[in-house]
This record gives sequence, C-alpha cells and structure tokens, in this order.
Amino acid sequence: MRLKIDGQEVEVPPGIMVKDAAKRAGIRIPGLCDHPELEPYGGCRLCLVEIDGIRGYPSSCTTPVSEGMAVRTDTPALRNLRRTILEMLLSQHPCICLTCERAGKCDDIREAMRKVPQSMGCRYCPKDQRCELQEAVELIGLTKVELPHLGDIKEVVRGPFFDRDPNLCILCGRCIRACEDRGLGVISFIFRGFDAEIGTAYEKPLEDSGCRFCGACVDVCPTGALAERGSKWAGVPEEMVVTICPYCSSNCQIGLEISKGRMIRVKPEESKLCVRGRFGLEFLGRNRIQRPLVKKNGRLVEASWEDALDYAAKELSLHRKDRFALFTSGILTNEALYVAKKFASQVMMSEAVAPDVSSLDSRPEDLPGPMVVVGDLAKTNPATELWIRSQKPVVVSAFGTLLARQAGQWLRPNPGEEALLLASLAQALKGRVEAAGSVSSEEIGRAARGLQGGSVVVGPDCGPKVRKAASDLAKSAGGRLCLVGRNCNSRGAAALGLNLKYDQALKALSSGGLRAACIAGCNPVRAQPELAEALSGLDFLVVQDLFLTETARLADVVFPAASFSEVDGTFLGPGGKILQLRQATPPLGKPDWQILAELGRRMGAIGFDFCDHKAVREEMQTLDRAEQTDLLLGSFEEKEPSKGSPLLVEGPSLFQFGSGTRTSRVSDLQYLTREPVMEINAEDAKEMGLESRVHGGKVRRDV
Amino acid sequence: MNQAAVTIMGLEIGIEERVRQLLECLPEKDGALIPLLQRVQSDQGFISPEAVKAVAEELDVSESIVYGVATFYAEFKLVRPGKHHLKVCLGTSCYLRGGQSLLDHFSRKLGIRPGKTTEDGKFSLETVACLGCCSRSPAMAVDNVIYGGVSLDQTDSILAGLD
Repeated sequence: MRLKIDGQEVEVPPGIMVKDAAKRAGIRIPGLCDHPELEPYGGCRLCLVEIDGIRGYPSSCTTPVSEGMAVRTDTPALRNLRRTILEMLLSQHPCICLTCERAGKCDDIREAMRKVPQSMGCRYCPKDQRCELQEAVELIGLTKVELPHLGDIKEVVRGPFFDRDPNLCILCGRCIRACEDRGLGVISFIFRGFDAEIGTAYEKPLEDSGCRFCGACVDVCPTGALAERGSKWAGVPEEMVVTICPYCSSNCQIGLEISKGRMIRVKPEESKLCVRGRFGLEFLGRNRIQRPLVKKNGRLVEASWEDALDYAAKELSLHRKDRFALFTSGILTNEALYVAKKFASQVMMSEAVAPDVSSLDSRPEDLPGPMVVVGDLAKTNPATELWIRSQKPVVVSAFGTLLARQAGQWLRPNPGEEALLLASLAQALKGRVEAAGSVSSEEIGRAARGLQGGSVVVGPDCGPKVRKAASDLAKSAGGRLCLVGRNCNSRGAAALGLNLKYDQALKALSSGGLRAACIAGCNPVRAQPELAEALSGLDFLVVQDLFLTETARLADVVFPAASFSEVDGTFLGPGGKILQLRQATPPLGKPDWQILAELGRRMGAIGFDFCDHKAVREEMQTLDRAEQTDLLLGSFEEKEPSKGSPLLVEGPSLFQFGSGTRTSRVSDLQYLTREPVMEINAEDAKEMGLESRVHGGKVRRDV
Repeated sequence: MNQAAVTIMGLEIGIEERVRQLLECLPEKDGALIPLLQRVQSDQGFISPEAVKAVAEELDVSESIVYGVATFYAEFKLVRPGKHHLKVCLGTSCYLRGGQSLLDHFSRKLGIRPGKTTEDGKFSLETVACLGCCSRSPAMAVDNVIYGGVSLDQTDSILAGLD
C-alpha cells in the first residue's frame, strides 16, 4: 500500500496505523497513550495529524492507512494543538524541570535532592532520563507551561514490588490496557474529571484485588507513576543482557539491566513475564555463599577452593558404586547436568538423578487441534497459561483456577478424581459415555465431541496417575501428550534420562542404603524435611548451591555455585532447540559443571578437563536422547489415600517456586505468601471439630 | 439481618440472587453493565460494595471495572442515601447567587461532604448542575420539593422541618 507522509512516498503493508507508517518512514510523531504491545487507543491526542479528505485532526495511532492517503504530520496548526494539549497535561504534573532553562545543568548542585518524599520535578523522579514525557516535551518543543498548576497532592501508594505515585500519572490508561491484556482488569479508571485516577474497587490494595504482580503495568508506564521499588533510584542501566528466566519451563526471555556489575531491573524481551521473572530475581544478591565451607568439629568453616576440592575428592573416592548418588534438578544448565551425569557414571560408577518430568518434542504453544488441560498452569507456568487461556481449551480442574474460570469448558471432578475423569473422557471417545464422579455424562459427552485429534496438556503439579491417564487419553484421541516441565531446564534433565532412576535413588537414600551423596541445584531438605535425617546419617555429603540452604547445613563440604546470571550455558527447548543463557554479572561462585569437573579431575578420571562451557556443549552433541515419552512419564509412587480419611491436596503457589529456596529470599514474595490458606468443606470441618477455626482460624498440619 | 441480604416483598434473599434476577430481565450480558447498575440502584436505593461484587461476578468482569463505571456517572450512588435527600444547585445562575455558600453551610451543619450521608442515616447531601429553577436561584431540593431563593437564615428552618 502506498501513501504520502509529509510529501514522502511510503510503501507499507495494509492494516497498520498511520503513526506506524510514519515511523517506518523515519518520521516521529509524538504520543503517550499508544504502545507497541497494546491495542490502539487514541486517548492522549498528541499524535494528531492532517489527512486529505478527513475532517478535523484524526489521531494517527488509531487511523489505519489507505491507498493514496496524503498525511501531514507537522503543520503550524498541529504544532499549536500539540503544544496546548501537552501544556494542559503538564498542568497536572510536577513539571518544573521539563521546561527549566537550566535543565540538566543542575546536577552539580542537586546533592541528595532525591531524599524528598515527593517528586517535584524530573530531577526528583525515578524515571528521570527514561521518561516518555520528557521525550514528548522535547519532540514537541514546549518551552513553558503557562497554565496554573492544578490538583491536590496525592499520597504515594506503596505496595509489593512497586510504588504508585498518582501525582506523576498522566492517565494514559496504558496500565489498564496491559492488565486487561492479561485477562485480569485489576485496575480501572475510577471517578471522573479532575478526580479521575487509576485504581481498584474501593481503592483496595492490589494484593486484595486479584493482582498477580506480573509488572506489565510498570513496563508500559510512560512516566514515573509506576516504579519498581528495588531499583527506584538506580537510574539508567549501563547495558542489558538478554537471557532466560531461571524459574519455570515457560523459558521466557528476560533482559537483565546491569549497572556497576549489579542487576538493577528485569525487562520482558518479547515475552510476557510473571511476578517471579519480573520481580523475583533479587535473590541473586541475597546472602550468597562466596567461599567453600568444610565441616570441622561439627561446624562449617571457610576453606580455600583447593583444600575443599581436595578434601571432597578424597572422601568421595571411598564411596563409589551403589553407596553413592548425585541428586540434581532441572534448574541447572545442560552443561551442568551433563557433567553431573558423566561424573556420577564414570567417576562414581553410580547415577545422577533429577525428579524432572517433561515432554521433549513439544510445548503447548506448538500443539495442533483442540486441547484438554490438567493442572494449575496459571500458578506453575504463567506465560504458557496465558497462551493456553486464549485457546479456550477444555479444562479439568477440581478448583476454580484462573484457567478453569475462563475455559472453553470446565470439567470439575472431585479433588483427587482427575485421573478418573480423564479415563472417562478416553472411554467417551470410544463411544462409551458415562458419568465420572461429580461430572455428568452430558458434560463428558460434550467435551469428548470436540476432542478427536486433540492434545492433552499436563501441568507439573499433576501426579503420576494423572500423567498416565492423560497419556491414555491422548492415545485415544489420536493426539499428542504434552507434559509441561516444572523447572527451566526440566526438558534438559529429562533428555539426559536423569528422572529414570530418581525413585530408586530416593528410596536408597531414605532406607539408609547410601553412604555418600552430592547435591547440586536442589534443596531436598526444604522440599521434604523428612529427608534431613537420612542426609545427616550419610558418611559424606557434598552440596553445591548459591546459599547456605537447609540441605547445605548438613553437608561436609559446601561449594558456592554461580547463579544463572553468572554463567554462559544452555537450556533445552522443545524439539532439541537450544536456549542460550548469557553471563550478565560477575560470578560469586563457580559454575556447577566446573565444580563437578574439578572433582572428577582430582579423582583421577580422564575427560573432565573442559576449558569452558562450549567444550562441554560440543561433547554433548554426540549424546543420545531418551526420546520415548513413556519413559518420561516417570514412575514416582503415589500413596493411595485410605478410604474415608480426608485428602489433603497441596496446590502450587504463584508467589513461591519449587521448594522456595530462591523465592523465599525475595521479601515481597515472602510477604504475599505469609499466610498459607487451607480450604475445607464446611461439613467436613464440622465433623473434624475444626468449625470454630474456619474463616481465619489456624490449623496445624504435621509434616 | 445479614448485610449482604436484601428484602424483596417480605422475603430475604442474597444480593447475588437478586442481581441474577435483575440480569435476567435484560436481553444479553454484553453491554448490560450500566442498565444492570441502574436496576440495582432503583431496587436498593444505592449500589453497595456487595452489589458491586455480585454484578462483577455475574458479568464476568473485575470489580474495579464495575466500580470505575459506577464512580464515573453522577447518577450512581455508592453510599446509602439518607432518609432526607438534600440537593443544592450549583448551576451557573445559582452559583452566581450564592449556591456554593449554601452548600458549604449545609456541609458544615451536617458534618458531611457532598455525596455522603450523615452517620445517623437521616440526611444525605448532593450537588446538582441545574434544577430548572434559575429564576428563583439559589435553589435547592429536599426530597424532590424545590425551595427557591434560599438564604442562609432559612436553612435551619428547612432542616428543622424534617423529622
């Protein structure tokens, strides 16, 4: 499609807006309410243009291009309009610095000015030099604001992760649209005219209004109205390193903003982050161990790397074969997992194991056809869930999860009967439609009708029985099974077959069959406190971790590991795709693969002198992958609940991850999970004598 | 009485149930927010927090959106109106002839801001843009009875006349 903008011939694809067409031609039009990731809005009126044949001044961010259009973006009338509009906007904004003739020259004299409780101008604003209002003023060339300043000073609202300063808000509504885009609508315009602001119903705190703290609102805010508290005054980053989020298996790309060797902020990089990726990485700098620790007289004391490695190598060589196991998990890189497996099998003549179950060839986004989903993905894999939700799948869930409430069809079995329901769906596909527990045969029939050729997605919070039933259902439907992994590199761990002997190793540990163990990238004592006894009964335990975890406290040697942001490496994506991790900050420990390789070398093994992660990677290329999905179902035992006794279903939490080793070091995540909630049927509560404690009472659960 | 319950023709039902009944009278859910809020208000006299929650749940939107719409339109009341409802006109004519000081006077006397109800539930105060009685400004209305040319001296007797 061809059009003329300011006399310049431009060729653009049809359907785009005039403003984007101008941008392609290198013509900048100001604007504060539109955003590349949001639907066109046309609220701020700064992007007005003149178009031949269209009356008045249409907003270029909402006007689609058409053939032969003649657009003018910079006329005296437009300049005048824009200046007036911007001036009115600034009459409710602390803007003294924006039009100050000494702007930028006051740096020498503004010592500690930021300690004022309120932003009075740009030099007191967390968004200084990153603010789009500053850009607009420059682009429009506004030099003074003659309108009187309007409006009262409003209170800054503090909440988890970010502050909201209504005095800096220009009511562009981007945050509201970003929140709606996530299907939440937690915030809205409230009140009208001069009183209008952005808020929640009855101005309740965000945490009581269904906010998931994904930070999408903060990311689109053009001013300092929404500012991350952790990095409020960290200013402009020196560089940004694009890497992969270290939490769930959605593998979102994240941009780490780095200043003075420290990560100051996390930005989405073509991804829709959740609270964990966006705000949950402050553990990187919290109470890290930086020197190896060796147990002497029952106490862990600091030691040099040389001494600690020599000691560990000497002791480990006494416990080879079935007296040893290496426990790891899918939070480590492919390189670390590969060296762990090699170390365990070639040096220790034993096994490296990880509890990770995952499909190798697909992720939900690649699945064809209709979908059945089991598991609370909105909490375990938020980015994946966002996509799945848009597909309106059939959802099997005993609880009113976010996905269930917005499903195409919600099948609601009794808790613990999910596998039974999946089996009934499989039966229904073969023509035998019967009710399953609390779900009627009509509902099952309706769900089954659209499922031929469809795929089954199983969340990481589902047990082996559900995985098995889902696998059978996928076969009956002639579709695919997708087991969503728990950790960022569950796929890598599963591809190495680390889950195959996990049960066996765990049993050996708890029954006293092991004499020594290495633990890398997991904290079993936090996840299963009952393992503490077995682990302290070992003759020798080596732990490598970022922190002195509950497990590390029991160790004979603790090695400080490097975190995801401190290493180069890879995760395994679907279908063998390699996802790149890039080093962004100086390491406080050593990469996990390097620690294990150095142990291997010291124990006389050959093939452990990798010079860097790339050398490990090269050796891995030749690796055979366990491709059969059946193998990956895992064989973890599940206790049958005894009939008549209450069944406690533990659900995942959005604000914690895994055992909580990392997320518990993020203070606002800790705040949001300060009170775990137990739900119980009112009649059961009565029977169990808990009635008086329902609604805010406390219940004790023995682990 | 349960706070979230309402009495319809002598029967006590939950506000959720009542909102469902009111929604049934509307042709479709799409675009039903404003008509539903209007019906809730004419049914209940105002829109309570419980009603906001029930409307949000019935229409599958967030409470914030319902609250946003309800606070945008002056028509919607979010506090229970008093037994006697005072409207003070701030239209151009009344404003010029002392409407604002009339309003300030009532506001001080009753101890409430416009849009609020006194603690005993007896009086509520509100501003209006025009009562259509510009010739008798400043004008006000008490329970839909219009008073014209109101002076500050008269206000006490107006209030005293209400039980």
